[in-house]
Amino acid sequence: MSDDLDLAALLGEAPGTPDPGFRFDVLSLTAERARRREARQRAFGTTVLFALVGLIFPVAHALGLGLAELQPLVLVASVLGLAYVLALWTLEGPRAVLARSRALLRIR
Amino acid sequence: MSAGDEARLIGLARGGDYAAFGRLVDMHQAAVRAFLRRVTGNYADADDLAQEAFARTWDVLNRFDGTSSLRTFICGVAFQYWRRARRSQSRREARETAYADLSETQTEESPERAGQRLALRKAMDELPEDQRAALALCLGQEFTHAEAAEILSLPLGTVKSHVTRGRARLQAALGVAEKSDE
Repeated sequence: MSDDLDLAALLGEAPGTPDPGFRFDVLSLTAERARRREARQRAFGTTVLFALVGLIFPVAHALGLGLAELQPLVLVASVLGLAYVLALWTLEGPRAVLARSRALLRIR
Repeated sequence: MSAGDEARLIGLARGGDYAAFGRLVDMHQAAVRAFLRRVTGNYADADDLAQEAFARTWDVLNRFDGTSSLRTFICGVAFQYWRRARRSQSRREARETAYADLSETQTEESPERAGQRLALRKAMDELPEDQRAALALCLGQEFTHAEAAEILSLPLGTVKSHVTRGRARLQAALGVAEKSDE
């Protein structure tokens, strides 16, 4: 009983063959962690974006720019925002008109 | 599997290939799980920690520079996870879990062997953290002393001393006379 291998076996034995269940659990955990990390990054990006949008008017006001001077900028931003929403709707909306093109181009 | 094959799988896994990573998990799960089973004394906790360690390895695979073996690298991660888990769990809870696990999973073994296992577990739980980990790595002969030193970030002489003294304590717990280290 003084043999090292016997001591090791008494303390805990190594699995004899690779366990597919264990591999599956590891890969599930890995994918879940990757998903969570991506979600955190997305949330951070969204928060930063909205914070920046929210900062535009106070900063402009601090720089002495009124609504009249900002009007072209606001107009362009609105048009770009609308275009973005429309593009998203086309790609991922209920009808997903461009879904096949998107898949072909492998856009995530 | 050759070192070249392993290097190829590591390269694929770094590129996001889950199948390649799955093969790496298969290659190294026995050694990592055995180490954690011996060090924790609880198979379920050990496997949970092993899964965490492998998942973390996926995240930090880019930091693996190939100077050591991947198995050593993963066990280093596992050791850090075990230390963290141990700090967040009281000593008493850990012992109770180990005893509960013993009674649940070892019902088919003889009372004599169960008694030995219990005595060993108790002796193991009383060892310092590093000594326990060194024993768990080296007793089953899955790792050399040099590999254990790398995993535990300890000098080689310290690991050898940990193993010799730890083995003597375990043998004393079993009532076996101390044997000189080869």
